[in-house]
Amino acid sequence: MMVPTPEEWSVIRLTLGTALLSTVLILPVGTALAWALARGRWWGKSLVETVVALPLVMPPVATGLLLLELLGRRGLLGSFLERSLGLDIVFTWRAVVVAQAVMSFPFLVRSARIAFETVNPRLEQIARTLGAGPFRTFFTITLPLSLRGVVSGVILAFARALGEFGATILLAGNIPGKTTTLSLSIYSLVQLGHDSQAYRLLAFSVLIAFGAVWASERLMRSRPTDPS
Amino acid sequence: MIRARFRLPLAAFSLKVDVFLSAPVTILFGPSGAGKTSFLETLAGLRRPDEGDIRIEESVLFSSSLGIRLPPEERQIGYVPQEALLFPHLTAEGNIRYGMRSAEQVPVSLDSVTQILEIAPLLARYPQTLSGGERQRVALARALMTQPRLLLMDEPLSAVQADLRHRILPYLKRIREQFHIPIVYVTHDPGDVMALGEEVVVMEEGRVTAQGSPVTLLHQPVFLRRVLQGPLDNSFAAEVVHNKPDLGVTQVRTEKGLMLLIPNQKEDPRTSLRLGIPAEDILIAVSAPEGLSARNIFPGKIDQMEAAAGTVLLRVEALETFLVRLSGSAAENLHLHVGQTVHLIVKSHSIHLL
Repeated sequence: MMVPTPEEWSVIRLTLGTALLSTVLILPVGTALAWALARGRWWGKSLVETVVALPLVMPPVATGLLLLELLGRRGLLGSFLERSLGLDIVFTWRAVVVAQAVMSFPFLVRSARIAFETVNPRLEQIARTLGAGPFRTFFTITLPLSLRGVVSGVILAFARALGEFGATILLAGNIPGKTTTLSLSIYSLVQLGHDSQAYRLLAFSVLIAFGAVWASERLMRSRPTDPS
Repeated sequence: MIRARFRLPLAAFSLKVDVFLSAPVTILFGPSGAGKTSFLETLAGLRRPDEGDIRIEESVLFSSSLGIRLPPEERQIGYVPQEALLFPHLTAEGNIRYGMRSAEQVPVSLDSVTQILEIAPLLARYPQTLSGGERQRVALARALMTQPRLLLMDEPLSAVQADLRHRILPYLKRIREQFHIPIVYVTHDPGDVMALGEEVVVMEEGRVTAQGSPVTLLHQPVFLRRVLQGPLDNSFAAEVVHNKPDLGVTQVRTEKGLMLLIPNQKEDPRTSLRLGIPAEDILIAVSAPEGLSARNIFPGKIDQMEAAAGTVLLRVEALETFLVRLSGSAAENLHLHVGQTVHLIVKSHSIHLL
């Protein structure tokens, strides 16, 4: 009974695929930025902090509208991408990824930043005196000691991407088979009065969320030591 | 040979240093807050001076005029901080191997270091399960494995400080003898200075106020004040000659050949020990005493005498160098003076093991 139909499968695949891709895309940038915010003192830091946090406080639909302006065919970035790479963003699956990435970015950056701030900077200094450059110090000291926080940031970001609705519907539209994710699909089904089909999708979202949290717990528990 | 001349702004004052360090072990001595740790951190490359010049032999680590500033990872300076700062996610062995160089012929090998510091049984354990003294030794091993050109060591500062100190000092001596790496050791304990130092640099409020051998510095007010007030142990390396369990004593011989009786030990003859004799537990007699119960009586010559705040400190040569602390009244009564021959009296139970 709970086996997804081919249509349901395609919605689930699109949702999981775009959410995974957007999480993977923001991971290096978000981690690097979180590190710079936690450790660095640089000009324009508070401005960057504010811009990163904007999607948290702005209505998602407003963020979506901004992105549409920016990435549309006549938008600043959109026209450039189309001319130079022939890349269409809006109303494609790529728009789904962009909307999810922007909306989940602050979750990753915040968690990772707090995690990096809990690592004693003196440990990093000692690693430097032992011959490790900044990169080796980050990957062998900072990251292992803050892994819990970084991983929970990744899970949060992934979850936020899975559920993204407002920015997606503006930037990507709701095109069945192309840009309709789980959230969009549930919304349309309810609108059309197909409640029982909407509940089936609801059940799948719960399963996915459950799986993600369970996987992260497993990952954390298999760590050999608690660095507290 | 280390040349350090720099100015480093700190919260309360500017650290201004201009020194040459050339002894195998240099003690950086001074009250807390004098800037000793900041000095070490500047050498290690963890703090950036406003201007100045830092060199080890011919190589320039920092020079404001040449625009050179080597990052810490290129300085080859081992740094053992006060808190040891072991990496909590690595075992003791993981910590020690972190900065290990894998060249064919390295003077400092993992085996020799773990053996000298007696940490082989600890290698598989995580830092959280180690005692303060064990952590300090692992941190020392970790720094040594990078084959440093210079070893910086900040005194362990903790509740069990005295205990810790007495455990780390003998190891530091072995390191010096075994690996010939110059050491700069920070302390505010005069006992450390006497036990270790060939050369002492005294720091106060961000300035170097004196530099020289421990003995020549006894007249320095800041040093003398600490020596006169704080606990002060005379410490000697010695070896067991023989045990007399029925008499409750063990005879030992110090490095320089002084024979002493100490409370009975279970160690076999030829075992190395480290002895401590508190400076106030030594009695002075101006003529050879007779009929005393104390087991150690030997002659010596006063070669320095310093007085402050009602206390007198004598430096007496008696094969080994002893520091003796007495009241001003006692010194006056006995008409003690430099050059005088006296007898030192030490109960065997005043001698403890470090």
